[in-house]
Amino acid sequence: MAEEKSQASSSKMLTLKASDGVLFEVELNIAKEMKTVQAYIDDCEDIETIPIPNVLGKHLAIVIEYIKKTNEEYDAEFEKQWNMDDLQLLLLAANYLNISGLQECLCKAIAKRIENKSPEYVRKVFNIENDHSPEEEAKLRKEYKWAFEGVDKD
Amino acid sequence: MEAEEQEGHPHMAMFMVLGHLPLYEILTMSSVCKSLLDEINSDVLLWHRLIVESPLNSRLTDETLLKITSKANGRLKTLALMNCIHITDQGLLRVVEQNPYIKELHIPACTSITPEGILKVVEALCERSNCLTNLSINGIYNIQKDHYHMLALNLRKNLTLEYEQTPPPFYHHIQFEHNVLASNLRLDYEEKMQQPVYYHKRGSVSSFKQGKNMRIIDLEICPKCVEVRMVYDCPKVDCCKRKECRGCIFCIPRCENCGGCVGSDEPEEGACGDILCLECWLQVPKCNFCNKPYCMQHTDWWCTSTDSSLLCRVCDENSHGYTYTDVL
Repeated sequence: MAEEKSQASSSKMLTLKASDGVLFEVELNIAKEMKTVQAYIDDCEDIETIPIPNVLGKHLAIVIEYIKKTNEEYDAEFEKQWNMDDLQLLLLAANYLNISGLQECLCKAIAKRIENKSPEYVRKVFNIENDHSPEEEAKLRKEYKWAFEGVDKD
Repeated sequence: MEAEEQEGHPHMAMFMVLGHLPLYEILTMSSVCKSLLDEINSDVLLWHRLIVESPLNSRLTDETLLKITSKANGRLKTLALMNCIHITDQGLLRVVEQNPYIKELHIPACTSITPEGILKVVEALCERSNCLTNLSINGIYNIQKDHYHMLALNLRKNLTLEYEQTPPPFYHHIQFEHNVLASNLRLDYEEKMQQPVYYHKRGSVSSFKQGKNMRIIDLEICPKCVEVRMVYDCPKVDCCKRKECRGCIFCIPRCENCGGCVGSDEPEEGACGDILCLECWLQVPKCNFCNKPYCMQHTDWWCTSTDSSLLCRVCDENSHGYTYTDVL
């Protein structure tokens, strides 16, 4: 009996609704990789459509594709296709949906892109304003003087 | 989501990435803006894991190491010093004395550290706690069999002790003989040591790769020359001596691309000087002039000649009369 039930549920389809209204029909076992969705299902068993309010359709599509295809080779090539903005939004999506494999992959990808770069480069790429006071900056420079001799010419 | 974003403030994603950054990039991030600096200074968990790679590897001293590790408040768990040439036995010992719960210690190619120094450090850690379970020491000079046996002894004791003191909850429900438990642990230890290690996946000492199921000690005693070295397994499915095809790279030369053993009569040299086995050699693209290929690690060394055919650097240099200087 239990076996029949699990066979039926593995081919069951679920609908995920992105923040911009785009709908995605996915198999239950794919959706279960997203622990947030799993928790939702555990709470309300008969749900058909699950709202994903924090994630845009285009990013949810990428996330679903990742879950379907993930393996060592795919992961290595995966991050190369996206720009920094998309990578960050994907990371937030993976965090919200609680998909640890994808979070790891994206964190490593972002870390790789800022490898050996200066603070100015990081500010430019992530569009961050420097709100350190000149005194604070001087203090930091002094404290970590040993670390910053000779930076990458970005 | 977009409405909440403020122009110029670090994206929440940046806070998540912090835990994946080696030390240099963490220091960079602290200079970027106030909120990142605050996060970095206040998040103690961030400092439980310290990874020092290039460019800090040549700049880190005993003093700066001690200062940085003090941010962990004695709870440092993972310490990875990749080719940190200035760190000495005393420097490392001081860190370990202040952080007795270190679980993973990676000090490959830290050439100022001696085997005796490592022994002192590992003994100190194993005396005060049972946490140390992974040690990487490839590239430290002069490690002899005696050192290796002492290290293995200490770490093995660690695993047994750790188990005896904090048995996992589910075992309370099962009757186990003490010696069965102990022998299970020994098997566990032997199994961990038996995880295959492949030459082409060896990575480099310049960047730390957190592996799953990492070996307890990265080095072994080579079954062929009986020296303490990195010992590689053979990934070739059809390697006739499969289980015996284990040895250090000096005893069994291996293909840079696939990690398979390369017989003494077949090594093919790539333009980069690395060896390839015949199968890999046949499959990869070759230089139009000298017919030599590049191995997978050096595919970005290809030059394109005027008729857009592939040219290796050596032939390119010869035809133009200049030399590439970034090879080192």
